[in-house]
Amino acid sequence: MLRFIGQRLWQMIPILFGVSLGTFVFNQALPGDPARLLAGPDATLEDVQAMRARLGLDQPWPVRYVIFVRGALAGDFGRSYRTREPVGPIISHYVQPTLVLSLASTVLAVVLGMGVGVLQAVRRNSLGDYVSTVGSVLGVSTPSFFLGLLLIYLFAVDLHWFPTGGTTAGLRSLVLPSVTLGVGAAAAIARFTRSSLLEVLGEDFVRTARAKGVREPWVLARHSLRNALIPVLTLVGLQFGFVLSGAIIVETVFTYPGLGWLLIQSISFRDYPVLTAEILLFALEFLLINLVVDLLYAALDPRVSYA
Amino acid sequence: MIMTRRMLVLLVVLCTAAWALAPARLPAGAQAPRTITVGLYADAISLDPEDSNDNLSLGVEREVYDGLLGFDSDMKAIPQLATSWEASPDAKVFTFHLRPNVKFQDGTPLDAEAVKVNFDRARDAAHKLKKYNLYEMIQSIDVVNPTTVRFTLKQPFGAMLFNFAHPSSRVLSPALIKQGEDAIARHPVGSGPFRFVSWAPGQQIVLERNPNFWQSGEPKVDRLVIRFVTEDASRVALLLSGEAQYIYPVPGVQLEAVSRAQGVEVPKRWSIFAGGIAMNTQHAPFNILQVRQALNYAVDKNAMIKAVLAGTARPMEAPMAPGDASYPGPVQKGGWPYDLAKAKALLNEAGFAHGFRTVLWSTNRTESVRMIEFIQQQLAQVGVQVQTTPMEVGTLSALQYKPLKENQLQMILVGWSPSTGDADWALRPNFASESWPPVLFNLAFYKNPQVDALIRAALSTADQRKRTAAYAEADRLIWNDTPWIWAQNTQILSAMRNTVKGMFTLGDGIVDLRNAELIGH
Amino acid sequence: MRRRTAVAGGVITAVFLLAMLGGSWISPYSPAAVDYNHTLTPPSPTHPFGTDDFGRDILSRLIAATRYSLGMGLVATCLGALLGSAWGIAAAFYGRQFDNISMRVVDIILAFPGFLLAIAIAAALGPGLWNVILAVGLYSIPTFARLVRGPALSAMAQEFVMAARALGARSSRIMARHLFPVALPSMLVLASLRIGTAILIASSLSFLGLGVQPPTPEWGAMLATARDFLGVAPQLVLAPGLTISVAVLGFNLLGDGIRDALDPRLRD
Repeated sequence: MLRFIGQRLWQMIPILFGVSLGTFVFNQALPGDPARLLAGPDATLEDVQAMRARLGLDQPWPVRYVIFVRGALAGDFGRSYRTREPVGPIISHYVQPTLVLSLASTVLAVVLGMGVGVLQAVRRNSLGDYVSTVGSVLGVSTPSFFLGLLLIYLFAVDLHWFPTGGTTAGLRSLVLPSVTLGVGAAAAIARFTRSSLLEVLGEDFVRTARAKGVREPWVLARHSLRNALIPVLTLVGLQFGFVLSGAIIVETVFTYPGLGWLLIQSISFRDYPVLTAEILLFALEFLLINLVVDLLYAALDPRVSYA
Repeated sequence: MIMTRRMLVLLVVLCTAAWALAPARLPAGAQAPRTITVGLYADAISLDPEDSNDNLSLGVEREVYDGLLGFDSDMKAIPQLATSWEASPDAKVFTFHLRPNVKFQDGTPLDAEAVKVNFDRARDAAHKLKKYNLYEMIQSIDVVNPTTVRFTLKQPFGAMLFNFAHPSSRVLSPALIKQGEDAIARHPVGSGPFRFVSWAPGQQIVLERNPNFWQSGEPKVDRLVIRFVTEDASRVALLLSGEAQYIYPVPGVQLEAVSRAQGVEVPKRWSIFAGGIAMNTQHAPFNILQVRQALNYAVDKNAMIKAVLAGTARPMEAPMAPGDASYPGPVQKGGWPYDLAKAKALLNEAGFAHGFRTVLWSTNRTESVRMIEFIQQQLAQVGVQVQTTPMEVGTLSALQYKPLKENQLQMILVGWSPSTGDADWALRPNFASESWPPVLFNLAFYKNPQVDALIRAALSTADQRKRTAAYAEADRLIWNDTPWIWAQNTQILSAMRNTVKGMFTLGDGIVDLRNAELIGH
Repeated sequence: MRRRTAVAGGVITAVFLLAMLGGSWISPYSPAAVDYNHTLTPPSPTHPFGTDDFGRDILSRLIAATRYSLGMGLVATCLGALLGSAWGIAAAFYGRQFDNISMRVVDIILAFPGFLLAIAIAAALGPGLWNVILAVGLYSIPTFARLVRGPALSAMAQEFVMAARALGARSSRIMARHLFPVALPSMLVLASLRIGTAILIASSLSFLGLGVQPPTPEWGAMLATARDFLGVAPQLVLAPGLTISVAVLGFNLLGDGIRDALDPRLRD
């Protein structure tokens, strides 16, 4: 087990190198000149060239990549083109809000999604199943910026319950964005929990247990849920990743200063140093989540082993 | 028993949640600081005025800093740190007399030496500051006495006073300049009505009252909170929910709904923004004058203003906006007329009786997209089939600034607002042949030697009458050459709760909160 | 009950497919016909969903948009499902290094935020209908691969696959005959959700200005450009928003029905 974890962590190093190189190529493929964008529409060609020199863009990208790698290995990711600040502090400033938002919405999604999913599977074909299925489908099919705007109008403008955005109102600031972000994931998890559990409930060992006279709640808890959780876990892992990229839109709608918001800013300003560091961070985060998911997978399904 | 215990736990959880979610209350009896919250559309980038070219950063700097000259609410240059000034007739020597006994927020005295230190930094090419081009023509700066400073230029530059009134031309504390670029960009220290407190990137900038401000009795509020809200609808919601007392901009389509709201006013003010569609005059068929004129006749500007801009604009009547300094007056009252018969006749004359196909670029902002969709509908009436191509800003800027040989541009939605507020910077970047991409913004690749000569002539004198006369002639020539479809001059739309006053957004789109005031305090 | 929802899903899907194929015959007006004197009118008998900011009939635009929105969703999902499942099954079947490497590649692709990938593709090719399809389709591949690999991996350890291998069946036969059916239910469930997701991702691309170009009507683009009108003319926002929801609802209910039919153990 430990060997497996060590191996996977070891494998991350070439992946991260691959991602950083990919990001540099992506930056290169992205049309647009950071110097021109920063110098502004007022700028003459001379100003733009001065800006290019100031940003170090007068060097070819392979040279810049080598400089980047050398710096990154020493923990220095350069300075933002846009604000001239060092990248490290910028990223760490934006990480926390996004982490809080992602966790809040994932917890919401898992609790709500699994709860509804299990109820649906147990009370299969009841009116409740029917209504909540339609409800979860609506949840999964509403564009998040549409939902976000509706929530803002209803709960912030009309009812004044929550602020329209930002993070200045503490916990209350977190409610609308995490609901917006979590609803889609919750619906997906509910659907998946339901179908996965139904499948397991149809399996032989469950029938055997029932035939042996094991009581229904016990069948559910001991025999079915554990097996049904396996594909659901994969989905939760995927959904957490989805939540991270969904944060791009939700953070924009709610002006929530997190990584998603920063990403849009750094793309529109072609702020390569920030963009590169951020993509590397996203990549690392995702690799770690997947590792955890795989480990849980092995822990829950004895047929899968990484020994 | 178990049930009751469960209920208890539930109750505790609910109470904790309610407490956590309840709005914070001030302890009774505490004197609340007079605070005004403002919602703007983007985060600031740097608070170094000479290194700022975005309206948001310039707006924050306006509250913290003073310039030698400033703008009043109509963008007329007014005295700020300089109480009076003289310009030599050849527009080469400019002398300023400073307001005595002014101190920076850190206690450093503001004198002629401090002014010299500032502009020496700004005109030093080695710093590579963004607004370097405003000062590069300065030959030398002399401290005549502690309250008098003299600038000598390398060559005549008639628009120089406007460069000193430019929002970037602010005066920084020399002590701050000594601390270096990082400090200047993040912790501004000036002599203005508000001093800098904090900046949470992506969220807000907080300023507080400068108790030693040179204008007695000002400012009238203790705290200014400037919040950044990118999404239009969220920003409007910020005002309607009462979280902010002033927002800018209000999207045109929301105007009616916002003005219907209780306790909200919607002040309108004409911008110095000139909007149109540039046609590549070096590219067939736009190299034919009749084609360009025909397209101008084919677009109903008033219908466009009504349909796309909710009536918050007026047709352009000259190649520059009426709010620009040295504006010589309209070339054609009411704008270029809408006349489909004439448009068809002109196209026929040019050999395009059945129209042609072309491509129209713009940014992907929703308003721009709606605008080019409208142009597409209008030009279809005369058989011109337009493929609309909205692009992300960075992509568009990469394509539009290519030199003529590589440039694919046929038509492009353009807008220009001269940062100096003066006619020179309204015409030169857009219509002088020296400004063809990649140098500047002449996206029509327009070239008329007479126009070039007139723009140069207007720069070589400080005599406002002569300058205005030159611009009148240049305006007339450009208008009739029609490098653009002359479209609209928009209004600046902001919204304000009726509990506050004194805040506005200038014609160039930069906010001015220096006189912000809470009514009843 | 189940069967009834499946039928309802089928009916909804059929209606949308009909609108997609025969849009121009059903549509009450031309989707491009402007009328500047009747802009932003609320729903009425002549215009059931009202008119937009250029006075165009919203219902007609929604119908015309079906072709693009649905077509995009279908094509992109098929692309992602086929390639992704093949990849996932192959990974499970060949196992070891191939599984390891391909799952790490999946990780790398998934590690990029989806919109970033879409932006990259749009940047390289320029925005437009086919590029959106490509962006959404490519984005779906790793999701399918990862999801399908799970059940396929479990099946690899089961007797019938072991038996088939022992009997010397060809690899392609084992994958197609034994692993594919095991993976099919999860693939279908995901695909039914994914058509909706594809439409949603396309609308998010429009929100960021990278979607289908106007005046091509597309639900997501209509919703994105109308967002400023929410407080002013709600029908402009609600009509495409609800259309998306109903369409996705239909596909999901139908997908459930197909799933029940394919999996005999669940038959009531």
